[in-house]
Amino acid sequence: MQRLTPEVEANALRTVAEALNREAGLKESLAISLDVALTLVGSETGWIVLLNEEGGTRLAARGLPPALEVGDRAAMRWADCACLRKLAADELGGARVIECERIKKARGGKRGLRRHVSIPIRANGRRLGNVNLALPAGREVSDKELLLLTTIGNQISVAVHRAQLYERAKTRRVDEETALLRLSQSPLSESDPQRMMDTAARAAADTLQTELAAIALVDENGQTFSGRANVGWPPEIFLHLRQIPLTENMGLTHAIRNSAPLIIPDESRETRFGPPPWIEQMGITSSLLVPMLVAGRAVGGVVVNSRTKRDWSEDDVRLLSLIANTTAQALERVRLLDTVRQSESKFRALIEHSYDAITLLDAGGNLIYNSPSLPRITGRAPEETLGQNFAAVLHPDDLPAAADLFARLLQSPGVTLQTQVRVRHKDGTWRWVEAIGTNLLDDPSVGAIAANYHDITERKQAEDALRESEERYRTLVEYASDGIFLSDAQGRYLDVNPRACDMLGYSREELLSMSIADVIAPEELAARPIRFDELRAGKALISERQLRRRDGSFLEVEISARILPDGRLQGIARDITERKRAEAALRESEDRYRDLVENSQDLICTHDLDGKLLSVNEAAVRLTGYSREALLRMDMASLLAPEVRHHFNTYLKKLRAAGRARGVMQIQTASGETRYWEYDNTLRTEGVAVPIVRGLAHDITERKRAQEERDEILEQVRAGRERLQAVSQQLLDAEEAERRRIALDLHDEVVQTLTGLRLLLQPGPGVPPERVATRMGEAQTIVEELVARVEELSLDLRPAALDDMGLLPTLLDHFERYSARTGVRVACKHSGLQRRFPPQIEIAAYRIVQEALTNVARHAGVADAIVRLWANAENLGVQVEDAGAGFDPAAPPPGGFTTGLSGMRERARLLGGDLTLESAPGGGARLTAEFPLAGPVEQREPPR
Amino acid sequence: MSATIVLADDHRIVRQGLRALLEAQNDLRVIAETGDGLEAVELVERLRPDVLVVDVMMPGLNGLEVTRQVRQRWPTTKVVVLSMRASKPFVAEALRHGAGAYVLKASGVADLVLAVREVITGGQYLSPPLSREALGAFARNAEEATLDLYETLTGRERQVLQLAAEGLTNAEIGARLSISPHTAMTHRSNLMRKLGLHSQADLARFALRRGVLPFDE
Repeated sequence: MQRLTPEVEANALRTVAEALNREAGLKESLAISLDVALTLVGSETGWIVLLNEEGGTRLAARGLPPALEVGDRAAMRWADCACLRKLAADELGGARVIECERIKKARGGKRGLRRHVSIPIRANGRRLGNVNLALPAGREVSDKELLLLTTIGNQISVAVHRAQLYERAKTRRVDEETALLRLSQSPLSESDPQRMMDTAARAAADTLQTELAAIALVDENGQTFSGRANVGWPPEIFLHLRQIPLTENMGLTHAIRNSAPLIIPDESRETRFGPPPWIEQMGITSSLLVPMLVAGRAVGGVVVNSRTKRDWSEDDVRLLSLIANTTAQALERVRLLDTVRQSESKFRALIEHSYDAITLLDAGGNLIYNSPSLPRITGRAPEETLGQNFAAVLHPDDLPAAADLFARLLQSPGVTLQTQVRVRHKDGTWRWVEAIGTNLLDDPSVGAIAANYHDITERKQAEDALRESEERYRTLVEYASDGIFLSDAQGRYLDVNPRACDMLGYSREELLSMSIADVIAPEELAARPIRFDELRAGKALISERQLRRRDGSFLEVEISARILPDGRLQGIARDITERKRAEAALRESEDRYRDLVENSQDLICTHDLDGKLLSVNEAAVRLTGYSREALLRMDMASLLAPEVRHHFNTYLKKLRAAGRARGVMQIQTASGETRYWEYDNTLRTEGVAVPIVRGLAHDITERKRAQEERDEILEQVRAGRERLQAVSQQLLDAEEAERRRIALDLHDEVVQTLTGLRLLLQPGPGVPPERVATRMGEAQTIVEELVARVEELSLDLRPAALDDMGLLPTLLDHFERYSARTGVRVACKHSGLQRRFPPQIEIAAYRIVQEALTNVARHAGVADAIVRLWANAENLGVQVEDAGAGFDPAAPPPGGFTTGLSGMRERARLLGGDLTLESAPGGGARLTAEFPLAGPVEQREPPR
Repeated sequence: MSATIVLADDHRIVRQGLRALLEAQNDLRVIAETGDGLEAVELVERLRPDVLVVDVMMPGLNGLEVTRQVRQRWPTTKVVVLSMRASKPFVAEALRHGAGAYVLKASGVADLVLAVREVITGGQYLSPPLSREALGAFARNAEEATLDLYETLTGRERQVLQLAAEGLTNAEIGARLSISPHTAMTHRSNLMRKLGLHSQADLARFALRRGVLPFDE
């Protein structure tokens, strides 16, 4: 360790400065600087770290303990080292001493290292890295030393920064070279402008390292520009860059108009232009725009945009301009090339497709020039026939005329004569040419007879063919089975065929002196005049007419008339007498058939195999409620009731498979009513173009409803009978049980008592007279008991008091006896009961209350019951309620309860009444019975 | 002058016994007897006796009805009802129909004579062990316990009554109570029948009077 003197200080700084200024690599210079610093603090261990995205890179190291050597020697990660993170965050601190977490955490030999001096390396206020000097145990570092170390750090900082700048400059140059190379290789050599521009846009983005790049070209009109290629632009936004007027106040229009680059480091502060909407949409922060120049003229512009802030350097501008101009020139080259190519081909086309050939002849008739299009006509090269006389190439038959023509040409300079001659083709055939000869012998620039000619062979052939066809036509006309009439535009006959004469009974000569109007019945002509105007306008007319024959009879014909190219009118008449007769017969039969169909009460229709209705009769209209038109727009499926519509496919399938379907279908009419049709439909495939279904249906709704009604009544009757049987059985059972009980009572109580009474009253021997009186008293008591017992029995059988006293007193009486017998108190509430009701209602009401109370006593387990009785003009109601055990009405308690309940219900029902039971386990029970009183009953109030 | 009596009982033997008994009294005279209820009324109309002795059980027209008609039309004729049954409801019913005396057939024969004498003087007579006091208590109970028809409604019917009185339709009631409109309608017609109501107005009036519906709302 050295003492820190100014000399030592200066020495150290100088050594470091020298090391860093050397030409040698940065790494080596740093190693020397590290050594100097280590010497200053007296340490043997130290390292220099440069920060990068992942953490840091160790650029120089000395004497690292094994623990710190572990793993990749160069790489250090943020996560590994708290001091690294701390230092990166602590921008302004100078050199300082740190307890190193990284060393602390490291496993293995550490040579007692714990702390190190940390010297920041920074440039432009940005932390670049660190020089770390491990401190031996107990070594303190003075402020002065720290200051020196900071200074050394600053020197290192300058060197590192310089090295990085150098590195970047080098990289930039490489980028530039790469871009130019790429451009020179692709856009310049490319012939497809689009691909050229795509490549240029990509090159711009790559070279300037921007997310977005675009190329726009001034449109052909010179007034607008459109985007042509881009990198990074969504199509839906780039689409808007179309035909934007150059007068718009935009960056790009400025660049193009001024032929000068435009630098926008911060779009948000840009005030010169109205920013287009996509600047914000695309999140653009900085833009660089350069014009694409060709010969000082802007043909477009290249734009690069960045989403992060960019201070565009001169290099950037230069580079982008380079790309823009290179591309512009390449595009221009392609454009020029295209133009040239186009005019060349136009010219060539003119020459190659020239129709006429030209031949020049001297005064002797020798060929001295042939135009290049000669082979088109003769198959010979132009020079092949040079020097020959025209006689050698013409058809011998045409020679006299040609020679004559040539002679005439020679005599009259400047004159033009025309002829048609045959020339020999190389393949041996003769070609017809139409030639125009001109004597230009006196024209100094020509000095020859000029023959201008073109091939008319095909026209000739066509003319021949036409002639032939005309002859064939004549034959056809002569032997045609239809009458053919030719007339002039006024209808005067010019020609007729033999059949025409036959039909009308005139001779040809006679007809040729007549006109169309002469052979048409006058009335008909008046009703339907001949439509000459339409015929003359080129319209073909087909009409049915009655022609008048020579003998005055009439003939039904179908006439097809039209105008011929030569202006004549042609009429072809066909005898349709037979057809008319057949049609009439058919119509008659159809009418009969239609009458049958239309007057049928049954529905008749046809539909196709999709169910579409094709025809319907009147009955269908009547039965569905839809008009015929509406029906013919519908299909069968939509006529079906919605609930059965899904069967329709089954129906169609059945028709297809079996050819016939029968059954009952459920229809919904226009008014929404459901109807039932019995149908019998058959598929017809023979004799028809498309298979059709013939449907025959009969409305059976009424029948079906009657049937349903009958079924319903039958069901009611059946249910009623069943119920009756069940009730009868119950009644029989109940009656039997009652009889058994009464018999038992009579036997056990009455008969036994009577037997006792008889014994008592028997005057046995030896009964003292004083005993007789006693016995009589006893007998009296027994008789009274007996009367009470028999009365009780009789009451049980039927409460006679009901007839005499009416419902309310009898029930009240019953409650008293019931309470006495069961211990259940009855609270009776009533309203409107002080009157009489029909006896059967009284007894039913009585029995129901009696039965219900019996159930309360048996099942409810309570000491109180409420009975409510009410009557008005229409109804009598009884209700028995208890707050006892209750039960689930769906599962009533066993032991005759259900039988009793159904007995009660039956009693109520027999009288047109109703019985309801409300109960829940633990919630008491309430039984209500209501009886309708037939009509208002006269209120009979007793006197008071 | 002796009191005139018409005797009506469908048992001839009983009738004869009674007649003998009554005629043994100097001041009583049986002027006619019959075994038929309708004839009894006719006899009273024709003879206008002071007293009609009539059995509860009578063919033709039952004893109570005979009593009612007689008392209504000829109030000067008093009626003694004969009965086998010492039942308070029956006694009360007979008295309600206008009987002056209720005599048990099982009572001693002297009882009937006492009863006839009592009614002639405008009094009332009940065979022992019946007493006016016991009867009075019973009759009061029976009369006081008149029915509030609202009590006869089921829980569901009460809910429907309230909603119907508020003016809801069957469909709305159904929706409110989670039942079908049809069921709601059945409940509504049932409760209207029970309460003897015939219109929506009746229903609303009943609900107001009964306090099912508050007045302000």
